[in-house]
Amino acid sequence: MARLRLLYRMLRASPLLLTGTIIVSSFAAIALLAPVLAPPTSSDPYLCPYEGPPTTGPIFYHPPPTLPSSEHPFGTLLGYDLYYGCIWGVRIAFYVSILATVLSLAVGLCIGSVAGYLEGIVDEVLMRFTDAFFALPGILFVLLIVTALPLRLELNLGLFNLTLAMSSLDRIILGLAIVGWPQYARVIRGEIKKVKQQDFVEAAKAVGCSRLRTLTKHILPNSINPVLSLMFLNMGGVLIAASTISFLGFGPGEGYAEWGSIIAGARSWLIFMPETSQFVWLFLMPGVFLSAFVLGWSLLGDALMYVIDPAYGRRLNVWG
Amino acid sequence: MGLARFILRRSILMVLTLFVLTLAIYYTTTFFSPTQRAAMFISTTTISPERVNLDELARKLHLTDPFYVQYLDWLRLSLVTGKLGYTLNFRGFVLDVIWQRFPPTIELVMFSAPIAILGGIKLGTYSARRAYQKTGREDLMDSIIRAFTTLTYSMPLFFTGLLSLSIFFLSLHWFAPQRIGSEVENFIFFSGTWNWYTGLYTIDALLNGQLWIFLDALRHLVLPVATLTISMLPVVVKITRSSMLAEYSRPYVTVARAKGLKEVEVISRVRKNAMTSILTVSSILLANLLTGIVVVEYVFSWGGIGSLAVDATTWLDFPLLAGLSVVFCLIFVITNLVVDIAYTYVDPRVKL
Repeated sequence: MARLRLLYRMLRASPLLLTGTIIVSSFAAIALLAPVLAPPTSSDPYLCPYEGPPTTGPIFYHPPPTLPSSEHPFGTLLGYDLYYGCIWGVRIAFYVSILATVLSLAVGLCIGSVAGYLEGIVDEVLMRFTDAFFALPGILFVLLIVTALPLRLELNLGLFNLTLAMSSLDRIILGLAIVGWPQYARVIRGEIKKVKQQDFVEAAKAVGCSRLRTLTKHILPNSINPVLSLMFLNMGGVLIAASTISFLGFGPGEGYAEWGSIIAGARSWLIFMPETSQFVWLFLMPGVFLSAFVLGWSLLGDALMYVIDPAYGRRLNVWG
Repeated sequence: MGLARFILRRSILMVLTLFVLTLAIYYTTTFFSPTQRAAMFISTTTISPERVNLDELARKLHLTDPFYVQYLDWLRLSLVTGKLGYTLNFRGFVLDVIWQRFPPTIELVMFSAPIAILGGIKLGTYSARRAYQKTGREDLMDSIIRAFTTLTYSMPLFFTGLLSLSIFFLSLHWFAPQRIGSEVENFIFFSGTWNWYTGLYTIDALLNGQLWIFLDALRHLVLPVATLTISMLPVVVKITRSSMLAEYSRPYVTVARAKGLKEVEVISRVRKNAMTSILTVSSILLANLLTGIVVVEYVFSWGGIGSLAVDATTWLDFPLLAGLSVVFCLIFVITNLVVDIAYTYVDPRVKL
C-alpha cells in the first residue's frame, strides 16, 4: 500500500514517469484491442492483409508501395497494409520483450543464485562461465543462433523425443535469452552474497531448513528486487535488439506484423528506388511505434525501479 | 594481485573463452545439412543449380565431416598459419579478409568515438551544472538535454540511420551513402596516380594532396558517423550527469567553494572524480559500438567488418564467422582489461 502511494506521489511529481506510464498502458490497450482496431482477414492474424496481384502464376511482382490514403491510413508496402502491421506489431513487441527478458532472467537467476549461495569452486566455475558469455560478441552470436536453429528442434531425451516447433521470432527470443542472462546472474550473485551474511539466514539454518529451502524461501525473496528493477529497465532494449535482428534480414520476413521486418522491407525499397523520397512514410510509422514503445518502457522502468526497491533505485538510477 | 598475474589470469581465461566460443560456433554446423551449406557456394547467375551434384560438392569441401573434425581442421590451420582459417567465399585467409575490411570501420570509429565521448562528457557536465544550480526547479537546458538523450536512447539505430538517410540524402541530396562517389572511385582505381597509405580515404586523400577526394570522403562520412555517435552519446551523457550530480553533494565541493575557488576549478575537480563511473560504462559503450557498427554499415552500404559479419552469417561461412568472433571477442576482452587497469590509476582505492 505504501508503495502504491509512493507510485502515485511520483507520478504526480514527475511528468516523465507519467508519460511513460501513459505510453505503456496505451500500448497495452492497443494490444488488447487489436482485433477491434484492425480486424484480421486471414487465419494467421499476424500476417498483414495482402492487396496486390495474385501470388500464383509463373512470375509475380509485388505492387509498388502507396502513400497513406483513407483506405490505408499508413499506406501499403509490397501490397501489405501498414496500419494493420503497426497495430498487430504491438502484440509481437510485448511477446518478444516480455518473453526474452523473462527467459534470460530465469537462467540468470538459477546460475547466479547457485553461484552466490554455494561459493567456493562452484562459484568460481559458474562465474567464469558467466564471464565467458559476457564477452560474447552479442549481435554476431544472436545472428548465428537465429540462422543455426532449425524450424523444428528435435531433442532426444533418452526416454522420449521432444519436438519443438519454432518460428523465427522464437529463435530470436531464444538467442537474446542466451546472450542476455549473464548480467542478471552477476547482480543476483552479488545480492545473495550480501543477504546470506544476515542473521535471519543463520536463524533459518538453525531451525533446520534445508539448503534449497533456505535459498528459495529466505534468501531469494530478500535479494530479488534489484534484479527485477534491472528487468524492467531492460524491457525496451531487448525489443531494440530483437527488431535489429529482424531488420538485418533474419526475422519473420515480409508481410509479417513485426516492426523490424516492415522497416527492413521499406529499406530495400528506398535503397533500390532512390527517387522515391516521399516514401519515408513506409518506415516512419513502424519506427515511431517502435521508438515510442521503447521510450515508454525506459521511462516506466525508472519509476518501477524506485517503487520496487527505493534504495537500489537511488543507487542505480542514471537519469537523476 | 600483481599486474602481471592479473594479466596472465585474464589471458588464460581469454584463451579458454575463445576455445569454447569457436567450438560452439562449429557445433552449430550440425544444425545444417552439408548440402545446404554447399548450396551457398553456387551462384545462380553462372551455373544452373540442377546441374551441380551438391552431395559431391559437399564431400569435396569436407562439409560432410563431423563437426569436431571440421573444427580441428580450422584450429590446426589457424594455429599453423595464425590466420584464423581459410574462407572459400573470399578465396583467402580469414585474417587477410578481415584486415582488408578493417580500414572503413576504423574510419567510422575514429570520427565517431571521440565526438561521442568528449561531447557526451561536455553535455553531461553542462546538464549537471544547470541542474545543480537551480535546485528545486527544473532547468530548461537540462530538461532539453535529458529529453534529447532519452529520446535518442529509445530510437533503434537502424531507424535513426534510415531517417537521416532519407532526409539528408533522398530529399536534400546533401550527403550520400557508401564510402566514396563514383567519380572518386574512377579516379582512384583508374588514374594510376593514387597511392594507398592507410586504406582510410580521408587520410590517404590528404597524403596524396587531393583535397576534393578528402571533401567527398567527408561528405560520405557525415551520416554514418552522426548515426554511430548517437548510439553512444546518450549513455555517456546520462552517466556523466548522474555521477556529477552525486559528486556535487560531497563535502569537498563545499570546501572548494569556501576556499573561494572559481566555478571552473570546482567543476574540474568534480569531473575528475566523476570520471571513474564513465570508465565503468565503457563495456556497455563498446557493446553498443560493436552493434552500432554492424547496423550502420548495413544501412549505409559501408563495406567494413560489420557488414562482413552479416554476410558471413548469411553465407554460412563458418571459418569466417569463427574468425570474426575471435576478433570481436579479443577487442572486447582487451579493452576491458585495459579499462580495469586504467581504473586503478584513476581511482587508487581500487585493487585489481
